[in-house]
Amino acid sequence: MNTILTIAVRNVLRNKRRTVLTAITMTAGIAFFIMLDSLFSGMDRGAIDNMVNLALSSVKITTRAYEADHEAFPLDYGINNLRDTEAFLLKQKRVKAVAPRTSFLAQLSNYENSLPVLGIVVDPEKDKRVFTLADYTKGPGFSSDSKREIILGSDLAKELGVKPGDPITLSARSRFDAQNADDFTVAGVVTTSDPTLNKSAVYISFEAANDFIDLGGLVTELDVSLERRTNLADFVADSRGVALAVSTAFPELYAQSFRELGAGFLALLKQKRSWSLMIILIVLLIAAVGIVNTVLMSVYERIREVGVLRAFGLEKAEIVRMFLFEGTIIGLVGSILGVILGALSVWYLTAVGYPVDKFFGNISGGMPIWGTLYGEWNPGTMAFAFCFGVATAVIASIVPARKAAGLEVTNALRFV
Amino acid sequence: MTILTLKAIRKLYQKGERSVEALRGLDLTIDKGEFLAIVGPSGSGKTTLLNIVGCLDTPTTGTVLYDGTELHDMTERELSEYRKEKISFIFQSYNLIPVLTVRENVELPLVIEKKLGKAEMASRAVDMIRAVGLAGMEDRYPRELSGGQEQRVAIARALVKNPLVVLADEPTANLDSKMAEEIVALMQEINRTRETTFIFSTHDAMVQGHARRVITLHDGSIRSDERKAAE
Repeated sequence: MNTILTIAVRNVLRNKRRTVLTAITMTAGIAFFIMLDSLFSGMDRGAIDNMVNLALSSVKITTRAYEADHEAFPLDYGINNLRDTEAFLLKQKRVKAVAPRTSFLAQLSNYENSLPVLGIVVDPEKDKRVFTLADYTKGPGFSSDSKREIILGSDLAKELGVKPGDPITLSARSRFDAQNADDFTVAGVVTTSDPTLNKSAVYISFEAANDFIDLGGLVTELDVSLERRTNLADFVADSRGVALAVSTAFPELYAQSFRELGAGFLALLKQKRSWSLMIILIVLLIAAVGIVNTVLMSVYERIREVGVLRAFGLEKAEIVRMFLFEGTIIGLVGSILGVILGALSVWYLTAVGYPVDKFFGNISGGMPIWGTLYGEWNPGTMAFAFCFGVATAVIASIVPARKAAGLEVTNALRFV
Repeated sequence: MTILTLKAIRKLYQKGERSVEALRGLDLTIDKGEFLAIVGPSGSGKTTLLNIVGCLDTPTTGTVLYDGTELHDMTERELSEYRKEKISFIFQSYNLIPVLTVRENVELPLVIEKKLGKAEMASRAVDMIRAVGLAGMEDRYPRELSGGQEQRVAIARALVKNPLVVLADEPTANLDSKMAEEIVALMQEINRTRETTFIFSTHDAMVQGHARRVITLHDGSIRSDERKAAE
């Protein structure tokens, strides 16, 4: 081994306690960042999965006319060539299922109180292939004869004091603008991590809606389910690809990919990414101060040694190299251990998970996630944290290394 | 043969607003193979003179001619290169690199010089260690040696590259008298057998007694320059 490198390595080993303490700062910083990133990614992904599986789907298709007036949930603009569109969609890459839905505004009443709700007409069989509402529903759910059945959000049920099996009245304007009211039986109460659904969603089948609001099979939206992709960017790209294909093949249709559907959440994610980057910067800055301190102490302890090496003709650049090596070794050890510790914590988070509700209760009012939170493997983050740790160590060593090299030989030799 | 000529050397240090003249127009000629002691009270300019002779510092005015080479206009890097090849040092506190073994310490000047292959460097270092009487101690670390042994290693380190001049700053100051005698005897022997030029500063009367030439400095000037007949 090169003698200069030997001196650096042995000096690092000679001051074991100092080296270990400095490396621990770096290890802790990197492991913390990797674990936090995994947890955040898991949280983000869990939230996105919930958004996709409960309400938004991966691609949502309506007509352009409907979209222009979508806030009023009009029953005037149905998808005409439904069968062709469904068939086209099912032929697209990674498309798993398609479900029709029609939304309408309504009032739900328990004969004493009445609440405004969003009626969502579903095809129970097709809907469960795209959405996972059934997993969150208490009660029998839609039966084969669903003409008089209704499923409603848990907050609505609570407010109106109804439970599965209870009667309830739904009133709404029909497709032809006639006011209609009908009695239904609560077939299920759905409790999701989406507070909007809990507070205002009412599901009835097309079979019921055809009678109740003269729907005549009108479908205002098609929801598409795509294969789950590990990487979020891949999923968004798949979603965009399908939306683009639909818009091209059916110009009268308006296809929204998850990039548009989840735009707000994706923007929040981006902002959160910069926050987590801030965390690593702060943690590694602390580690960098530790490294500067360690290398400075090393320089201070070895001023005479530097004087001797310079007296024998060792160039300044090699003195810099020697102290840079020391900082780099500490950075490497700290970063390797940090990635190992981080990977272990990610393994735990992905295998066992973090029981959010156990520690924080039901947090559905905040983030669209609850239950057990699982981490996500992100090799890119680990590689980034490792490189960032080593780079920080190298950069942090530059100042003390240059200080050592800049010492006057005569002063260094006089130093006691 | 003259290897070093100093002409009208002046060295001024700035201490705040005050200017201190450490060397005042000093002239000196040193021949190959000399065993020369520079003596004088503290502040007389011994260390400044050694620093200039050792190319660790440059004079404010005057000329330094080393083996025919004028050093005055050399940059710091060129002086460093010159030191690497021609000059070696022995320090009062030995200044061995604590994390290197005896052999690695002795090899160090050769490693810095980058002229020899690994095997030759090792072989020359081992020969030199043997020459200073430390055979068998090659793999020990400085902390495992006595003060006298450390200074022997420092002498081996200074001589391993066959320098033109070895500068020794108070080489016996940290040793007891018996050990000091041994070290001076070793330097004398090397001086005789290898014709290596030794220039050392000292306060030690015993060391002065062994020098063949004694230059006494006072207030930055040479007060006396005594040569003794060869022993």
